[in-house]
Amino acid sequence: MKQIFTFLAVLIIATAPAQEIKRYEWDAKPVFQEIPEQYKNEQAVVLFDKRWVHTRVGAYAFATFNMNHFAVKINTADAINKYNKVRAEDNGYIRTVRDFHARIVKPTGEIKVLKPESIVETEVDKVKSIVFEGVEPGDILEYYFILKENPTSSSVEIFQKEIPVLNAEFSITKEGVEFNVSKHELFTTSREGSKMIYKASDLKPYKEEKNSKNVKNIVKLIYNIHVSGQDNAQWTSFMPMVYKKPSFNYFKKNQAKAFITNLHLENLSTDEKVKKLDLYVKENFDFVWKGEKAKKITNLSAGKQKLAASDVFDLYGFVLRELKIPYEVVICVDRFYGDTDSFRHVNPLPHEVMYFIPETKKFITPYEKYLSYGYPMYELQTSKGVSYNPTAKGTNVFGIDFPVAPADYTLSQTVNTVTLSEDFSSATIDKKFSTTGYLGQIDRYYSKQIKENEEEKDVIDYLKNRTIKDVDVKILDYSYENKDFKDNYTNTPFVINLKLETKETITENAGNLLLVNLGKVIGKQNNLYQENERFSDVDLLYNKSYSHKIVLNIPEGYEVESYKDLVIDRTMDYDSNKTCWFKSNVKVEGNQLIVEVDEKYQSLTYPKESYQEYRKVVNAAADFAKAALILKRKQ
Amino acid sequence: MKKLLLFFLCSLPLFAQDKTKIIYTKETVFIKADKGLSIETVTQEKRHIPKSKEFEDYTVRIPYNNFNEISDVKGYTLLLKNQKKINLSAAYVSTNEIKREDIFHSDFKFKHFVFPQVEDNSIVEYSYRNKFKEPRLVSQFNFQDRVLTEKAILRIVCDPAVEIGYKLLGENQDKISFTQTTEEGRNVYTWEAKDLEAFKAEDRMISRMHYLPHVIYFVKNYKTETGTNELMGTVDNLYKWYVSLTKNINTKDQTELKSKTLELIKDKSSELEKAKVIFQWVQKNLHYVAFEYGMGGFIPRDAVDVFSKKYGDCKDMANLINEMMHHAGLQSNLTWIGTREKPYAYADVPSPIVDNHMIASALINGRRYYFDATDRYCEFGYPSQMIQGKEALVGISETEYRIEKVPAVSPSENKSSISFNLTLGESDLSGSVTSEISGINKSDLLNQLSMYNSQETEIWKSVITRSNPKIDLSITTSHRNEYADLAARAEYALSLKDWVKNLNGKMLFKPMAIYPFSDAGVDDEKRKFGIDLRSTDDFQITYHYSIPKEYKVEFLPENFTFENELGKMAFTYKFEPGIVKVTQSVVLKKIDFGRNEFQSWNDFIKKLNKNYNQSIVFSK
Repeated sequence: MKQIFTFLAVLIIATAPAQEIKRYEWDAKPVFQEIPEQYKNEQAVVLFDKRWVHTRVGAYAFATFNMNHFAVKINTADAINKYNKVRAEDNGYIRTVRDFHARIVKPTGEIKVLKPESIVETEVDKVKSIVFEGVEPGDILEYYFILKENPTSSSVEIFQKEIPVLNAEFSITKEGVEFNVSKHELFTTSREGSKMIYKASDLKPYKEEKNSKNVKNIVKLIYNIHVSGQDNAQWTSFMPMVYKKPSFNYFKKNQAKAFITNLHLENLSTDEKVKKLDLYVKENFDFVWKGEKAKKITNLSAGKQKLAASDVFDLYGFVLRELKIPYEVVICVDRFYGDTDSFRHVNPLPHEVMYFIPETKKFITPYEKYLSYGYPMYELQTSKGVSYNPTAKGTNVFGIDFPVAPADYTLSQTVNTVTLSEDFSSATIDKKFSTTGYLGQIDRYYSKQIKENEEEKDVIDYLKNRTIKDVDVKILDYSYENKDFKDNYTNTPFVINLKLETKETITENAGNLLLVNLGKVIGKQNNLYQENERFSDVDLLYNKSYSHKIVLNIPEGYEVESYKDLVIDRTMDYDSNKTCWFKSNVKVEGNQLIVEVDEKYQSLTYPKESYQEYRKVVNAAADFAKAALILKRKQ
Repeated sequence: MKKLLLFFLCSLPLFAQDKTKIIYTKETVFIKADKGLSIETVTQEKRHIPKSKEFEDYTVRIPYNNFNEISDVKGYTLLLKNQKKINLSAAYVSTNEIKREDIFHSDFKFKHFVFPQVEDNSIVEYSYRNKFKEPRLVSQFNFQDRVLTEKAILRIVCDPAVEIGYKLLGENQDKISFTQTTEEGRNVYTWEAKDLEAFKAEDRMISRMHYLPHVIYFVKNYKTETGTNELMGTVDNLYKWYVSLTKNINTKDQTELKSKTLELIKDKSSELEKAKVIFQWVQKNLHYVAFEYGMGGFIPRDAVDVFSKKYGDCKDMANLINEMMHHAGLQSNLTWIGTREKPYAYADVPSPIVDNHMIASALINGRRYYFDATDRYCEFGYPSQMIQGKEALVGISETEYRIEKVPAVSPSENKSSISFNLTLGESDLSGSVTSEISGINKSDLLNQLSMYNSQETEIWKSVITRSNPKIDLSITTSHRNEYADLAARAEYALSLKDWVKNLNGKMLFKPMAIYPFSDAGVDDEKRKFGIDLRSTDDFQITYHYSIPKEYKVEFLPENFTFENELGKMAFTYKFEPGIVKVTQSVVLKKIDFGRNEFQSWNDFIKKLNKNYNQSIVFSK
């Protein structure tokens, strides 16, 4: 009997938080926060968005209870259709909908509770939904539901919306599991008994911006769950568990050893060895993609073949280990999605995995087919990641700072010789388009992919879009230079030579003046003409440089009247080592007019406070693309 | 060995391509009339998959709803390298819901499966049965797919007691042969298509159903011991069915609804005013929530329920408008219609497949007005964008209906009037601009403003900056003029930097600051399908430039006018001391155009751009 009492007591204690969430109710007479003056003209305002997750996992327990309680004030009729529907749905693994209530609070204070018979349910997924009835501007729509679901190991809870959110609250209770929460800086943390509560207030309407860490910046919480005492996501556990020893699924160690022998790496420096290894892998091994079946490999040195991605990754590790080249496995989150947690792997943030060679300070990126041994993926530059040395004893997980490639590394260059037809109805353009660095490696990879896998018309479309978008041209001829993967190691420019003929005139007549729209020859330029305001810092993919040369053969019988439009000099007023600029100059040599453009962005990030300065440089490039040279008939 | 070699040689051309193709697709429709009418289709399809990474090509989705029963889903993968056959396990055929943003609750589902163990160079084949529970909702058969189809066959096998109707529609009809035979006493109708290239949709294209070759079939009637049962095949029968679905929908007490109607129309004397106030009340107060569940997808809900709940789908709104208009004494009617996605005429396709929408319409002063409240900002008196040019089935009484053609909104009603009042500076333009947008363009603008409220400023500015983002604007005033007989109007302060070029005492600038349709040219070498412009257009743009008094005009472009079957344009330039007046008129007459008009269209756009690029030169 004593044992029974003890068991019941334990059960009561263990299920207490679960009972608490199941008993959750709204206030019979709700009191809502007044809407601040600044939000009075918004279509709607979220008064509160409260969520509570309770997960219990144990011998006889495997469930998550998920509570959502939400209230929104409708200010205009336009907002009604955006907020008058509720779907009691969360992670897609609903077992039961325990509670589902919705009501309308009229401006008079009258409360209209929606009838349960208005709830509809889908046949297959059993998702319950309801529509608020008779909604008018001024109403407050409030609902809450509690779901019983199968637990998920992680979730992203986004609270920021296109309308203001006055109060956001996320609560956690648990049994038999631990939660690890990554939260946006606006959230504060508190505890009520065993309940962890995260609160944020006054979330501004969310706005997506160009060149911004939009996903990272949105106000959200990410939580990961693990069974108590079984935390394998900590880097100190995760790294050795996954990367301690390379292993293969579709070939054997002795094949990998033979592969090393066939690479003939003897008497080479570490740098040369890794280059040779990387070149062979990138040129010959394609991944087994979704839908494809990995096959047993009989000979790794047999040229082009398909390997499981994990085998490719581990093959690098194995070779490095066999060659006794010190290496580290490094992991980092794409900076546009978030930061790398210094203690653990956070799902579902995209973690990129690669190798780092301390001796050469270069990275191997097995999963990026376009990228050669050298710099890391551009998405990781300036980020902090974690590094694991599989051969070190003792502490073997450290932090690592990812380097940034300078602006000169990624250079996009064009040389254009322009000849107008006799009647000026068209022009021929001999264009040499070349790219280096990240752009060069991407262009080299995609040009090859498109050439090998797509029809010729798709190749032509790609070439037009990439080299002279905005001008309707016919490609008379084209050829590539330096298209081999090996050229990536020396940062040799990938080159496309094009002979183009415009399908329409690039000139305009104005009396005896002839305007030549020369700027557009460099291709489409981005602009920020209409983006006056900025809410977030500017974040670029990579530092970059542009260089253009345009040579115009001045038509016979004409001379230059003005090239003022084509001369631009705008530099951002900013740290001279990080600043950006657009500069163009013009000279006339004999019957040729020569324009040279130099554009550079030396920093990955420009603070929002300096946005207007940055904007004027970007717009200078767009201005140039619209600029015209003015010729006049010779007397 | 010889046989093997022959097989190998024969197989080569068949499998030489590395793109997936349909070797054959076949649908057999069995229509029986022994114990009532039963309709069942058997679908079989065989594909060659050269590259297993083309996952989508061997992923199958079979859409259906509660009017169908899908059974006997079978399939297998055949690996050609070793002739190994792997059967599809029933456990891997899942049932899923189709989730659509625009539909709140529906019975739309699909069976889904992926063929097992597909490797490069495999054959996949599957079949299933589809039983139709509602014989009026039998479907259509498409011959073309997004991958190449070598052979596509539709066979309809029906008892002699059954009379069917059919219509072959779309393009490539010359590649489709038709035979009608008798087999074991049953009538067999067979359409067979060969070698249809992969269908690739294009942006802004006219409804794909205009191009995809397809057969729509329906049961006209069937005989039983008790006599002949009429189903479809004539518009009369279609209408009879529609009436049967709608005649008893409004059973609740309408006192409150009537009283609201009377309140709305109390100061309105004309029928048009009454119709307007009712239509706009529904537009303002009803919110679109779609239910497509079983017959709920066809039958409007009781007007009293819709009135009190303040939400509904197209047919709910149509029914509410109709009832309110009746209370107001108007000759209003429920009206069935297919949107522009359905390029069918009732005479060709007298089947429910012709329609996917319902509106109300009313005959006022001898003219029929169409009321589509699903477009919250559709201007009173105009049809919504998506039903322009379509036939409408107007239900006059239980036995009487009319088919009427909904007109397209004319260019003069879709007017965008934009007037610039600008001063030329040393290098910049500055001044003000006013925009007035009407018709479908107004409706589009207001819907955008409603949908993306946080981008209100950007949306208003885009009216001007869409074709010239360099224009810097600040909004002085803006008036949406919702539900008013006024254009949506905005006034802006404008600055356009570096627009004026100073050349040794001369001034040169482009007088056109905005360029509607400048980038609308069509790649006539590549493009296959016609363009859907959505609406007609009429841009009337005026520029009033103040220039320094000391300048006289050195070069003024010539006035220009041009008109073809698609549009017309006119540009005029007038100089007075200190003032230049320029007008820019661009009118699009059609809401869409086909391949045969690409050349005319490009010619039009080319002329437009030539005029947009004119410059004026002044000298002191």
